[in-house]
Amino acid sequence: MTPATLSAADIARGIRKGDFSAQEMVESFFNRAERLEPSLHALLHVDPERARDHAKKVDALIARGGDPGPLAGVPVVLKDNMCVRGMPTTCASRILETWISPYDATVTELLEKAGAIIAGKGNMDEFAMGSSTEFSAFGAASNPWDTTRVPGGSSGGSAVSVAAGYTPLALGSDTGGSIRQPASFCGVYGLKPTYGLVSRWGLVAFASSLDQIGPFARTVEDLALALSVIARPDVRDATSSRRERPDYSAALQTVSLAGKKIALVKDLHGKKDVMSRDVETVLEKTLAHCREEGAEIVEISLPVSLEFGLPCYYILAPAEASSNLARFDGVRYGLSSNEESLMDLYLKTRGAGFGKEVKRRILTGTYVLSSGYYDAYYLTAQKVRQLMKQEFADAFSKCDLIALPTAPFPAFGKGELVDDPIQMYLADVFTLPVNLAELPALSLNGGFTEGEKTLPVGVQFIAPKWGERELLSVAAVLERKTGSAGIAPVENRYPCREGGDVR
Amino acid sequence: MMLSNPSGSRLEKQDVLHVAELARLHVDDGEVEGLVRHFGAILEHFNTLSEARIEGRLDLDAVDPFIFSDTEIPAPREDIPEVSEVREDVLASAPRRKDSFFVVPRILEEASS
Repeated sequence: MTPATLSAADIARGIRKGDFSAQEMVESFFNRAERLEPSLHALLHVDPERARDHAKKVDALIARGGDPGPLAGVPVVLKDNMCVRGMPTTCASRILETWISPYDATVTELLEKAGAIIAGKGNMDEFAMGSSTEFSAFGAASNPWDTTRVPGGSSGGSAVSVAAGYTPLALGSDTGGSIRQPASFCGVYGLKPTYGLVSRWGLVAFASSLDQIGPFARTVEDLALALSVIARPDVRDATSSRRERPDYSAALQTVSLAGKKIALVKDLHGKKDVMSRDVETVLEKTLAHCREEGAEIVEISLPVSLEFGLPCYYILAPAEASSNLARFDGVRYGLSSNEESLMDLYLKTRGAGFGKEVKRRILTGTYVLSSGYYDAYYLTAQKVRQLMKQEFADAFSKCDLIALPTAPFPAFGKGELVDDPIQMYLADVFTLPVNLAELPALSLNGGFTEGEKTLPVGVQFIAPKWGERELLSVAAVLERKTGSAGIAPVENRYPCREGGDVR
Repeated sequence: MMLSNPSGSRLEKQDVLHVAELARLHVDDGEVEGLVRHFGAILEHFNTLSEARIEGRLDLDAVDPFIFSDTEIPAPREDIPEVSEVREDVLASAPRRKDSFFVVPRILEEASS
């Protein structure tokens, strides 16, 4: 019995019944991570002492007849841009390498209150800027289905932790697809909630109008369970919605697609030419399953979102990032160059501390906000964003859900796109419109590529705002039909050393 | 200072260095060429928006860029003082500190008189 084979719901049930202990679950997390980390590098930090201490407390509470909560003893990995008091939060950047979080993110508090054990911090693209986890300053992570390929990004380490069976649950953040795209590449579920559903307090900001935290899991039940725990109003995040949240787990009791209208976007507005054949096949197959379950498939068009979403996003997100990352100035935390003048302190600290993709985005953002170019770029992109919101609102008058590929292609090879940022940005073409329109979307594994080393391929469902229950329902129906997400066969395909370099 | 590319489509080396200074980001000589190329490609991509406007495929004239009609207005918090006990933890990560202050290079010269 390990987190590799059990769901979070099963672990919590087993621990509450006394079938096994939280301490056993934590030890099996560390054993598996130690064995697989040399191949995968999904984690940036672990704190075994802290995790064991929390597990002991969970076990002690159960021994006293108490209830630690719905995630009792479940080891969870947090992307390394979420604060855990006393642990590093590096955002996979040299500039924050030495910073220890002085407080807990709201999601950290909520998870621990529900009995979860924070087992490790997930590898990521530096400051969540990237689609492959190759832009981590501390080394790339690998895809557990084929370690010569990327796991996707930016929340690659969280996706790998779940796909490789370190943990049944992990949290990522999604600014333009950073939960859904690695979920697709690693063959697990990934949910990007509606903007404002999950508190961003304690999440290091990338683009504040787009960032949202969400869960990765291998079962729909776990995805709903995690969402029920973390989707809480929070006065510390001014954009946190005060609306009442439903019980997402209860929504899975009676699910059916009968009478639901699911829309496909007929010709994908010119984006079919960048799409792999496998992705098209898997999407068709998934829609066929939906039809068999009683859904009506309708066609819609999203010309603005699919044609102009990419340039719109790559103007707005870097603009917000250039402002948010101004705080990393060498004065209050992290790396600091010892200089005579304040200007040199800023220039040298930031020049040495940020990696190349972060620099590209800060400079792009600074440029599009600079005098003389603001109207042509930033303001234009804001207007396009409004059109996209309206376009989705119009589309949802004709359907309940929209189905799109999660990414245009399956996991690509390491190093293939790292020097071609614009090609890399294409990986987000189907995911980033969702962030710009503030909508919820879920990526599930729809199938696999043909060939010897098969790779998972994700399908994305998009709902109107606050439609997380609808997304979980369609995922639950498809799970009943085709099964949950499987563990990647990393041990069968690759020799895994005993012992590792888990820090 | 306006940058030297009136069309907005091409940035030269000195433009990139100027943007880098605005961003308080030191850029090595070895990085500049790559950034010039990157700006060339990304701005070409961004210009698809203005081209689409000219071609009439993207009509933005009547669009208000900052209407958030479906966004809740955040309710102000009650003004209740809270005790924060993280000061020492925050300062523990400071690169340079003196007592409870962050230390920065001097920015004002002492009066010469």
